[in-house]
Amino acid sequence: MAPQPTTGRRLLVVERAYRGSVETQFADVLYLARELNRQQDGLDILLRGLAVTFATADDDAPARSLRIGRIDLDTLPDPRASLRTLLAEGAGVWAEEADLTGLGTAPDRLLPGVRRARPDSRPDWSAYQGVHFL
Amino acid sequence: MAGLLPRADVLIAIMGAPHTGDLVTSAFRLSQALLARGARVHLWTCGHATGLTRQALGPAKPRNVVDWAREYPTTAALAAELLAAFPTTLHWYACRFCSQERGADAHIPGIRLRAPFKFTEHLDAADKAFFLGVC
Amino acid sequence: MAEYLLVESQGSYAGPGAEAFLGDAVRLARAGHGVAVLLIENGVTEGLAAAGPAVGRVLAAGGEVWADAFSLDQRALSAQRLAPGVRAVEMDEVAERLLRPGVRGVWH
Repeated sequence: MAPQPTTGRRLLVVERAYRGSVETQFADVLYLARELNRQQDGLDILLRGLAVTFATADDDAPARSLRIGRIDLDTLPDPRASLRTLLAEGAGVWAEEADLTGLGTAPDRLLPGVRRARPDSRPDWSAYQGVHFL
Repeated sequence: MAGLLPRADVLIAIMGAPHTGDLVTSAFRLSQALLARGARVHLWTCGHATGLTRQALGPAKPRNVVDWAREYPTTAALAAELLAAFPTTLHWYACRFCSQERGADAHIPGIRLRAPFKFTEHLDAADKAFFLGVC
Repeated sequence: MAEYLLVESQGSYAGPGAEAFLGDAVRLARAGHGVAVLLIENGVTEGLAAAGPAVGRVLAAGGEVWADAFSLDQRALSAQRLAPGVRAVEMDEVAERLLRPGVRGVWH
């Protein structure tokens, strides 16, 4: 007998990152996740691959804009700000520890509230109503 | 025929699709840096990248529902800005076949449609060429 | 001998192509050509100290390796995390190199 979900929540797995800064701007994958979080009254997100950098704070990194022609384009995606908003709005966020380690991310660089997905502590697919890769 | 095209120092051919990676961002950044140095640049778009300058995009993206008052320029608007800023040293071409195949052949002013079988003329007209992504 | 500006934009997350391309850089450098590799977009991850040995082989063969500062910032990757010998650069420096007479550019 298949195990029954123990939560009504869904798990979104994000492993593709940095797709179209200039053309996407605010409408990135986390914008979609935020809207789904609103519609579903809560969901969980697992960041994998390069997407784990959405959850890493680097104090040395200034906010970047782009010079195009005579204008400064200052509306590029800001995934770390988007993730902070998602956390504040009740989403659960996990980041794959192996990918954090692979990028040389120090433990103190993770955004507050983000959990490390380890072999012994990670989202259990069987507990979710659905698992979807974005 | 290559003589009919203006010379370019660099041709940047955007072959890959937007929204899949940051190649469009790189194309804008590299173009800006080259043009700011006085270089002559040709941009060529193929495949889904022809949609970057589609006239129907208009000047601004659809509203951001969580920041309603803010305006976000479309790639068409950014292309128009780049062309306006460098009117004599930037030329932007779009593949006619790819544009028509995707219903994107109504481009903003300044974009010239060229047949794909003329592409080698564009390579010959440039000292150097980068192909960004694949069709 | 030729001068090359080789641009790696994908990185190993996209598959084995990045390592193969950096291998091309090593072969060109060992053959005596001038080689500068620019790591950009997701390709900047190849320049991290925690990354694999491919970039180290380029440096050992006498090539230069640059990491695009904008791409690093976007990904919250401090330049301090780059491997020794990898230098963060702005696009203006890339444009200057590309425009030098005789420099050949290849984008991957």
